[in-house]
Amino acid sequence: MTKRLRGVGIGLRHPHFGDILETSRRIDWLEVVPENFVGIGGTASRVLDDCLERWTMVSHGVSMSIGGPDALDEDYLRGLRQLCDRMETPFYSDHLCYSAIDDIQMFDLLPLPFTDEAVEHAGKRIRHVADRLERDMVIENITYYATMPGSRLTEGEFVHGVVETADCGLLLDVNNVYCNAINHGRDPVESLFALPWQRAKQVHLAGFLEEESRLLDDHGSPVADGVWALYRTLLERAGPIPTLIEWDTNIPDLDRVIDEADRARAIMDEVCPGWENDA
Amino acid sequence: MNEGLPEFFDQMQAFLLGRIDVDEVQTKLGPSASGSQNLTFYRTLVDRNFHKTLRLLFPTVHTLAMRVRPTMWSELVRDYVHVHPPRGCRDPNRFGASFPEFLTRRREEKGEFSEALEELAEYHWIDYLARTSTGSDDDGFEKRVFIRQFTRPIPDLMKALVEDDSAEEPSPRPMIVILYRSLVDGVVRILHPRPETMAVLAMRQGLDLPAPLAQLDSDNVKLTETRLVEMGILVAI
Repeated sequence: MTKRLRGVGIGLRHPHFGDILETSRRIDWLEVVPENFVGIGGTASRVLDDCLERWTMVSHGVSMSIGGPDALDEDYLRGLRQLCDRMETPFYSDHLCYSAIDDIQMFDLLPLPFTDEAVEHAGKRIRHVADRLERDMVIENITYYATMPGSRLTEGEFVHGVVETADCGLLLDVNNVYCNAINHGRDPVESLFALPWQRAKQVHLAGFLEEESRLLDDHGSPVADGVWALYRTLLERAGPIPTLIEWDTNIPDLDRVIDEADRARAIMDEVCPGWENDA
Repeated sequence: MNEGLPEFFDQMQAFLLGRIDVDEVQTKLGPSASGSQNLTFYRTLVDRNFHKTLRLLFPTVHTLAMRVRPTMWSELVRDYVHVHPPRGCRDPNRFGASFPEFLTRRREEKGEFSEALEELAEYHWIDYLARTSTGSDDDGFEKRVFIRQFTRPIPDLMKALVEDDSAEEPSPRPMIVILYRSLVDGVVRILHPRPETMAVLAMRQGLDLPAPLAQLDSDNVKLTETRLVEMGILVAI
């Protein structure tokens, strides 16, 4: 059995373990980073069980290295499957990137070259993970600061190719779209709709850091006005999509994160009236 | 994968780990449409990640290393990554597994800092392990319960450095510390053991008792064992 995702959620982060179960404010659902729970006991595991009694939860991985060269870790996939079953999560999401080579982790979401070969490679591995987890896969567009050597496709063509090859959903990170557009001198709205937005199963919103001439996707501040505007534009065309506020560095108190979730829900209410009553 | 992607990953690994420069990557793979500077930024990012991960894992070691000299922390991270790259570290915390041992070897070879750095690193590491270990039916030694002898009052130094990064490093004063996650409430605590406690812990691990512990009053040892079970350090048997 899996649960249904709708509305606006937040990430379950360690600094909020003590407050999350006490809050009376509205949070529609929670997202966890499974690497913090698979094979890990103690407080994290206990908090997860307590949260599951109250919220629908989804699992969003950061280290699958779905586009990477190393064989997928079958032991980890077994543990991840158990976690997803325990959470009754409707799908599993991860990033369209690689993060390890020869099993050495770089602790970052690194871009692939935009090539047909990389489309096939990533698409095949996404299908493999979906098979192992016995649930739908949803893949996130990442921020990239440089087009990798050898690229022949645009970002939009690349992401389209992967989700169609894998027949998977898209986790549409609007902050990443915005950062990429600004960093690469493109129009944010054109960049947004160049992606396969019709396949979007979930949206991410986050803050970025401006460092020299780059926008860095650091999830360490409130969502920027330009990203809010892009989110509104997305909902106007696509309708309501479950949305998550990510805040992973410089994490403020829980209420501040929930404030951002309230703002996202207000936009959803305004742009998609009656979304809560949809079947 | 055909030839394109394997070559891409080979070159990018060498580049990201600092073994070749951006010109060599672009000679082998072709130019980045974003330019050399933006491609180079990925090496900066990965290097930052290694520094940040270790600093978050061992904040007090970072503090003391910076006192030795301003470049010390960067030197430690660079050399640690070279010897112990984060292989198989899906959980970034695992990147720190060999850091205490690395610091010990470094001190023995170069003598640049005191034992406090490696002992603080060990304390951070066992604290992490105790907090995150999965449950088991046994006493969980080296998973949930750790017994360590330090040359200094490391728990006090850690606390002092967290509150004030200019806190003085204490003079050597050997001490034994038990760090454990309680089976009762899941909280990680430390205990400064009495001889009876050491006797119980040794017996639970099937170790022979040294003479001073073997001569302890058996009723007191039994009472101590009961108390350690009540505190959630040991399982009831």
